[in-house]
Amino acid sequence: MELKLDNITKNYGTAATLSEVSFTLNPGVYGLLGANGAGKTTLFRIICGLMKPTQGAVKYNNRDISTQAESFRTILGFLPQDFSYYPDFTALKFMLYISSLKGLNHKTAKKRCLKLLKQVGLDDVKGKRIRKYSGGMKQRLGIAQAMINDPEILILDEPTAGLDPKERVKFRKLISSFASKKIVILSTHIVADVEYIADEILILKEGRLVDRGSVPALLKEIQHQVWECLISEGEVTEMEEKFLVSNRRHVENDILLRIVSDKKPKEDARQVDPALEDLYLFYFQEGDNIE
Amino acid sequence: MKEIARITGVGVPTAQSRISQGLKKMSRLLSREEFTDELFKSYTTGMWELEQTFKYDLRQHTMVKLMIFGLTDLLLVILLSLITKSALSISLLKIILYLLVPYNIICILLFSVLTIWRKQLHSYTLWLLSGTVTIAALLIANIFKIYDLKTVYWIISYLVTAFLLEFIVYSQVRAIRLEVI
Repeated sequence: MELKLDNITKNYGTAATLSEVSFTLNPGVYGLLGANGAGKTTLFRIICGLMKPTQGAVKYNNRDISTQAESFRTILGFLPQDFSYYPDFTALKFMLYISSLKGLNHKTAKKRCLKLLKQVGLDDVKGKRIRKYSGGMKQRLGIAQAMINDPEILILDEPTAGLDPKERVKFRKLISSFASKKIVILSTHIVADVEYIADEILILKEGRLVDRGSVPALLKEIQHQVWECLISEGEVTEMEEKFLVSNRRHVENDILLRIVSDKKPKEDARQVDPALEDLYLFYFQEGDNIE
Repeated sequence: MKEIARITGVGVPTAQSRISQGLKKMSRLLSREEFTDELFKSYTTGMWELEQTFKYDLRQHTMVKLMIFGLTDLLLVILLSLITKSALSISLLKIILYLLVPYNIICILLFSVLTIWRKQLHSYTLWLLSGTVTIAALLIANIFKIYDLKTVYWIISYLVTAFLLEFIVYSQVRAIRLEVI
């Protein structure tokens, strides 16, 4: 099983949202990291066949998906960023409706729907109208609908948005148990979510794929560039202007800063192990005054 | 019209008004609120994007819905024609034409709206459009006295609208086939 993006470019007028994005995915969980406007949603929409690229092609098992549209949709599960639903449907009716549009037979569909509703914790409220659900419940329903057809390719755009920490842990377990022999691609702003479950991270910046690799491999890139140092309250502004600060917290009367920099920021600064959030900031830092 | 008035024992304006009322009721029946809501709900709720990614995509299942509603409406048209025929002394051809021409026009409008405005569609737009079309149809019917026109004009209208409808349906089916291939 192989999903290949071959030189994908997408232009809106003269502005390029995606520029020559190429990568190949095999079974595994992939986290797509990028700032707002980096092109993540456009990339997902192109993979799902909702949008045609200006240039390039998406190939599944060496065949362009546009030449196998229906069969590709059969093995696809998708959760859009803004998940919509029929507010007057109950969760079970909604799931069954989607099952029939995904071509599942009724018996299999009902079993699968009930199982998934249980897995996402909506079993007790499956007969309740979706309009009465909380944001987190709707999001869990969105995740469940994407998995009804046991898809070979599962694309989740911001799946953890609106989930509380307990729900996020549940979500990570669900994806891990589901992901064997499947391609799962998910984007999120919550870096910890991809850090825990992704086999590989893809970093998209201004429409270009700037890096990819496993979490340890990517963290090696900033291995000796993350520091912690104690400073006084008065020095904070100056340090923040000079360096990329990934965290700050009060320690007694001082402030402990976590800094990403290739130079030692202060004489008494000590090197610490990098985290994915440091890497995210390293790639998506703003302002030119940061060294 | 005079003949209808004579048979039913009422004045010409009363006969006209009764026919007009009957047609209004029928148009409500043919474009039932549930039908319209069902047809457009993917767009009005924002589900259309997700539904495009399913095995049977949005275009396919909208076509199926249109076919089901269209056939139901067609059966109703035939049934109403037969009932009207037994109640009034108008030729069956005229009754069928009086029903099929508006039916074709409604189908053309529905297909066009679904194709052109699908992404910007909102339930308010939909109801505004339905209201405008109904008022326009009533005004046209009253101003031009379309039911007094010769049958030949109705036949021409039917042929033109049927051709347009067939063309639109054929284009959609062809697009689906190409996508599947």
